Amino acid sequence: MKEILSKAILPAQISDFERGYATRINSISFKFCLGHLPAFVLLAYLNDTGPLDAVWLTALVLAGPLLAHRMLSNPRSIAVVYGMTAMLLGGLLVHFGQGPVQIEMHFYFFAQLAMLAVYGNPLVIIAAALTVAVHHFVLWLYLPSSVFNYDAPLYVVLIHAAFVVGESIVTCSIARAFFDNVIGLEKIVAERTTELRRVFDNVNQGLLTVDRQGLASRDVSAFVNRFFGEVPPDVPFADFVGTRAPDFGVSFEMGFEQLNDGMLPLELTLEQLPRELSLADSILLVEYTPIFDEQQEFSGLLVVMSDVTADRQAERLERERKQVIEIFERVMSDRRGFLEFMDESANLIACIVQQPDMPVADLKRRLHTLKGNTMLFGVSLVAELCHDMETRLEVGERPTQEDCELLLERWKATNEAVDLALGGEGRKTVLEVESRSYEEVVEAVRRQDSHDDVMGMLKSWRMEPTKVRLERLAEQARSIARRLNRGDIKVVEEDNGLALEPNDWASFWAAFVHVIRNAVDHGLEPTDEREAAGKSSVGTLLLATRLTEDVFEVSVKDDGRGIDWDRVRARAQERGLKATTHEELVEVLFSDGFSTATVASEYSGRGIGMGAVRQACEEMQGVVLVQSERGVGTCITFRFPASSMAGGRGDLALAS
Amino acid sequence: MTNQAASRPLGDTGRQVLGVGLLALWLVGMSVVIVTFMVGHWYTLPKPDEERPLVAQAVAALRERSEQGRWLAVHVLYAECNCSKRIFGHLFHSERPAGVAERILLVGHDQTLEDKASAAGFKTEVVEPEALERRFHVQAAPLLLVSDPQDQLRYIGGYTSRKQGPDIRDREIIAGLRAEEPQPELPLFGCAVSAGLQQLLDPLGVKYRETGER
Repeated sequence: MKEILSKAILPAQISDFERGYATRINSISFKFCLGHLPAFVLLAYLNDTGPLDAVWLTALVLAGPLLAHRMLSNPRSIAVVYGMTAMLLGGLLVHFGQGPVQIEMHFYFFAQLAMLAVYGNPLVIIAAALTVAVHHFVLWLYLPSSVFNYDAPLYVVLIHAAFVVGESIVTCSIARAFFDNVIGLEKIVAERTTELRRVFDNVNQGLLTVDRQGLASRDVSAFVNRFFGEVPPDVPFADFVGTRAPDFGVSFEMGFEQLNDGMLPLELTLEQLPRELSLADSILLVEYTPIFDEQQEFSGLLVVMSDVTADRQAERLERERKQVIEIFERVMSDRRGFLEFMDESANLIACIVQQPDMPVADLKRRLHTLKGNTMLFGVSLVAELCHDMETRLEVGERPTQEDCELLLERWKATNEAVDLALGGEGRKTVLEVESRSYEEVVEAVRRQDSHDDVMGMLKSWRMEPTKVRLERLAEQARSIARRLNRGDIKVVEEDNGLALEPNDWASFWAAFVHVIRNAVDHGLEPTDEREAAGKSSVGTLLLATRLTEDVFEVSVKDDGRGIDWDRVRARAQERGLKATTHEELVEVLFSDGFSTATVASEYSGRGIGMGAVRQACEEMQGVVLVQSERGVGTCITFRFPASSMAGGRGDLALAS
Repeated sequence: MTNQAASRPLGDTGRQVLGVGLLALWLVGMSVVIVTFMVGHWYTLPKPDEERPLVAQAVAALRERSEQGRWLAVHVLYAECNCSKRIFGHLFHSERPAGVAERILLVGHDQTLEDKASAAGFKTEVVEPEALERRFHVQAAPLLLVSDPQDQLRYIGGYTSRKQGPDIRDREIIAGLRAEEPQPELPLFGCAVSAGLQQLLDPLGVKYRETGER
């Protein structure tokens, strides 16, 4: 019974679409009913059943729907009145149409019952059927023998009723199906829209579409509203997002124009659209999915935004944690080297931050050196920042105040990590002395050698053996090789027992790292390439310091692919540089911004490092020599006057 | 309720309630009217079955000398009844059975009908409704009465097997009776003639007014 009622009675809520439809049908119904008036008058005239009676009686019946239209606001209720009206009009028809076809006039009731399905409301049909039933019942109460005259038996009565009941049931089903599938379709759509809206309101992602004109859809997930507010009508997505992220807006606009032009492959242009949207306190990852129309033509984009702020924060914290661990390990394994790196880097940072008008070439060198050294010593957060600044510097954007503040902030964090690693010792300068040197001084004092001799021995303790530097560089070379998937490489150090004045040579060694990086990144081939060339799968680097008469040399030799001088020459010609002689080619190799690499990696490729190392070399009155043979290897040698080794005291240059 | 409140226009709910109330009155009123029509159309009118001998005598009294030894068919027709008018038309335009005396008892006055009946060769007697009931115990029309040459009333009934059916069967009935074939007496569909029957069928006076039935 409950189910029957739920089918017969429509859901209480009336959608705008249903209201419009019911109002329209009610209006048509009134005109239809009004059309009965002249028809009945004509019928009454022809049957001599009183045309005037037809006028006033039909008018009385029509008063019902007229009253309903005036007094009732619910179109369904008005429709129910039309169900009753239809049956009353049938009664009049039978009366005014009496004659040989009076019985046939009863078909009107069945026809009307079927037609009432157009309201899509079972109650209209039920009201009509009840109106007929009530008439029969009242008549039966008054004159039992009048209902079904001609002495019809009960089964005839039941058959008669069965037609009305059967038709009413079927018509009710049709009306309900009509409501559910046609009139109620808008409601179904509305419900699904509501469900979709619910999803949109709760999904933790920004969802919206951009049409071919670049206009943002207005139906967006709550996520989008939360970050950017309501989408105004007919606003380009670039402008909408650009209100909070101008750079993103500009990048998107440019990328979308390319996408719309269709000149380049879709995948390529999609890749060029900006992927990360940085707001004041949030970072959004933006993904794009192209939308195609039925002709498979590009018709817009689905834009999905995800808040990756927390992820990025977690990643950064994780990287900071790893960086602290790495700093700790580095400090423990090479305390002196690390502290020198810190001092050198602090100087570079001070220059970068405090000299905003520094020439671009100098700025590039310093950034590049800082990047390389921080990368080698595991201070990757600073290295990444340098990489970003370098990238932007290449398109003419100097570091901003924010960049500088961020650089200082990260450097401060690095210092805190170093302090943590050093514990209570702080950064006290510690002089490391080999036991043998200490014993030699003790023996010299016991022998009562001259003051000058003993003083010389003690001062030599301040000298730094090149062995320490070469070992550090060797380790860095291996580390770079591992990161660049070059596998394990063989590094041979030849220090020849030399030592240098550490403060004088700190800048050189800092810049010298670029040579190591270049050798590993561009010199040594990948394993498979080496094997194909018939070489040992393990590349070899030779790091050496030598003293011959009055010349001090620092060299790096690899057994890699060698320098492609033709390519260097071609690049040089592209840049309008002289590149005829070997000396000129070497000059080009060390010029600012020169590189044969097509893509800059985190280690090399920008053409900055070699310029920086030559500058450091020249500051120590040195020169650079390059020997390279294609397929055999490269040797880069830095030659300095021997007097520069120990600040003019050549007697201290021999560590042992 | 204050005067101010009373003078306020009806709210939406009040308007709805008033509308439903008025519509209920409309539905009831129209139902009564149409039920009244239905009664008139559906009710099988009474025949004087129980007063059969008296009716036979009244019919025999109508026979004239020249009609002795013949079958007699009496058509009781009501001037204000459309069903009766259809029978009039049938009588005027159909071939009448030979050797059968036919008489029209016209209830009410209609000179045109009388003239037409006369022109068609029918003898017509005009009776008032009260006289019809008193003399013939008949309260409704159209009614066919058939007596055999011995004045035995052989048929009291209607003309059609269904309400206002197109097949008017008077000639078949008479022919059957003369051939000594039993003829079922058809129900009487038509109009109440007597005031008592009219009051019963149309207590509101919608259908039977001063001039009779529509």
